[in-house]
Amino acid sequence: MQQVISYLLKKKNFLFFILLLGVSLALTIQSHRYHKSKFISAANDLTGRLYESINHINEFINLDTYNERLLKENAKLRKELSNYSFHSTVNDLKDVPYEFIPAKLIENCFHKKKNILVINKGAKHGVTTDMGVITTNGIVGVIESVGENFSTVLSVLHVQSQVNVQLKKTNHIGSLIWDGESPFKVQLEDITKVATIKVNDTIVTGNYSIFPQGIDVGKVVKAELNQTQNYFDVEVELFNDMSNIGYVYVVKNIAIKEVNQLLNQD
Amino acid sequence: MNKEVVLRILFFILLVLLQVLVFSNMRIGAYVPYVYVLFIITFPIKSDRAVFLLSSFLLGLSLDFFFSSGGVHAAACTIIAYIRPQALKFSFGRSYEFQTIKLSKVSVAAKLAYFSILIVIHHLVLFLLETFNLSFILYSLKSTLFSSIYTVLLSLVLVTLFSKRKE
Repeated sequence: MQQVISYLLKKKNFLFFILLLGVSLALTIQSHRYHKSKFISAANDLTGRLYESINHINEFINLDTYNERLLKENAKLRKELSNYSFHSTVNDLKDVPYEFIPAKLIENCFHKKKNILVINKGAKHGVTTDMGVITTNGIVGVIESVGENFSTVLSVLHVQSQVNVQLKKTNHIGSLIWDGESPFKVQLEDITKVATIKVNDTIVTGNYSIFPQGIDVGKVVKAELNQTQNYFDVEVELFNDMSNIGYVYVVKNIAIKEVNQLLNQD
Repeated sequence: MNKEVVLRILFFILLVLLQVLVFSNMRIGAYVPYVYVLFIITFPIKSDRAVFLLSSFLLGLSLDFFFSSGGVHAAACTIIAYIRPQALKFSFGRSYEFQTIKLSKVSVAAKLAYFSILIVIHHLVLFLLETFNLSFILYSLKSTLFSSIYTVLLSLVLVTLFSKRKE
C-alpha cells in the first residue's frame, strides 16, 4: 500500500497533467457536438464587453459602408411599401410570424473552419438558440449559445452549418453546407437531376427553415451533374460579404413553438 | 504574495488581452499568430510543476472563452507545459540542468530551437483539435506550418525587445 502511495506521489505531476488534459479534451469533444449548449463560449459578459469595446474602433472605420447599406435597405423597403395599397390595415401585418431583433456583430471571423461570431444581444433582448441571423444582403448564421447580454452565432462559414434553401425560380429544395475552403463560396447539396439549375440562378432560404422564406442567400456560380448520384454539385457565391458584416437582424420565428409542438406529438 | 507572482499574473492578463485585441487581428492571409504561448515559454524554470501546469491550462481556457473553441487552446497549452522540460534540455543542453538560463543571454540558435519546438507542438495540437476531422488534416498541417513560422518570428522579436529594455 505504501508503495502504491509513494508511486502515486512520485507521479503526481503526470496524473495532474492527465487530469487537465482530460478536462480540456472533454470540453473540446463537447464543443464539437452540434446543437448542444456550450460551457465554453464567448456569450458571457466579460468577453462580450471586451469585444464590444474594440468593436467601437472597427465600427468607426466602416461607418461609410454601413450607412450606404442602410440607405439601400431603406430604398428597397420604401419601394416595397409603395406596392401596398393604402387600404390595407394594420391587421394585415399581424399575421407575419416573424420578429426582427436588430443587433451588432462585435466579433467576426471567417478564416477558420469553424467560425463562431458574437453579437451584442442576448437573452435579455429575447434571443434564444436556433434563431436565424440575417443582414440586408443575405443570411449570416444561426444563434448557437445565448448569454445575458451577448450571444454567439454559428456562421454559415462553419463546416457543421446546414441551412435549408431553395432555388428562387423553381422551388427545388436543397441544403446549404460549407466545405471550409473559400469564405465567399458555399456548397449546395441534394439538388436532384430533374431540377433545372443554371449559373446565375438565385438561391433563397427555403420553407422549412428557421429563416423566413425567400431571404436571398447567393447566386449559383457552378452547377455540374454528379455522375454517380443523380445530384447536382452546386457552388454558390454568397451575397453577403462575410468579412464585413456590421449590423444584423436576429429573426424570431413566433410560430416555431407551435410547429415544434406539432412535430413532437408523434 | 511576493512580487514575482503578482507580475506573473499581470503578464497572464496582459498576454490574453493582447492576443484577443491585437495579435488575433494581425492576420496574414488565414494565419493568425498565437503569441500568448510566450507565457508558457518564459515561465520561471524553478517553479512548481503543478502550478505551472495549472496556470498554462487556465491560460488556454481563457482564450477558449474568447474564441468559443471548447477546450482546444487549453489542451494545447497543457501539453506544451508538460513537455517543456524536454524541450529545455534539448535546446540548452547542460546549462538547463544548472537552471541558470536567462533567455536574453542564450544563443539565438538555441532560443530559436526552444521556441520552435514548443510553438510547433502547440499549433499542431491546436489545429488538429480545432477541425477534429481527419479529412481536414492537410489544412491542419498547412496552418500549423505557416502559423508557427509567424508566431515564432513575432515571439522572438517581442522577447528580444523586452529583454533589452530590462538591462
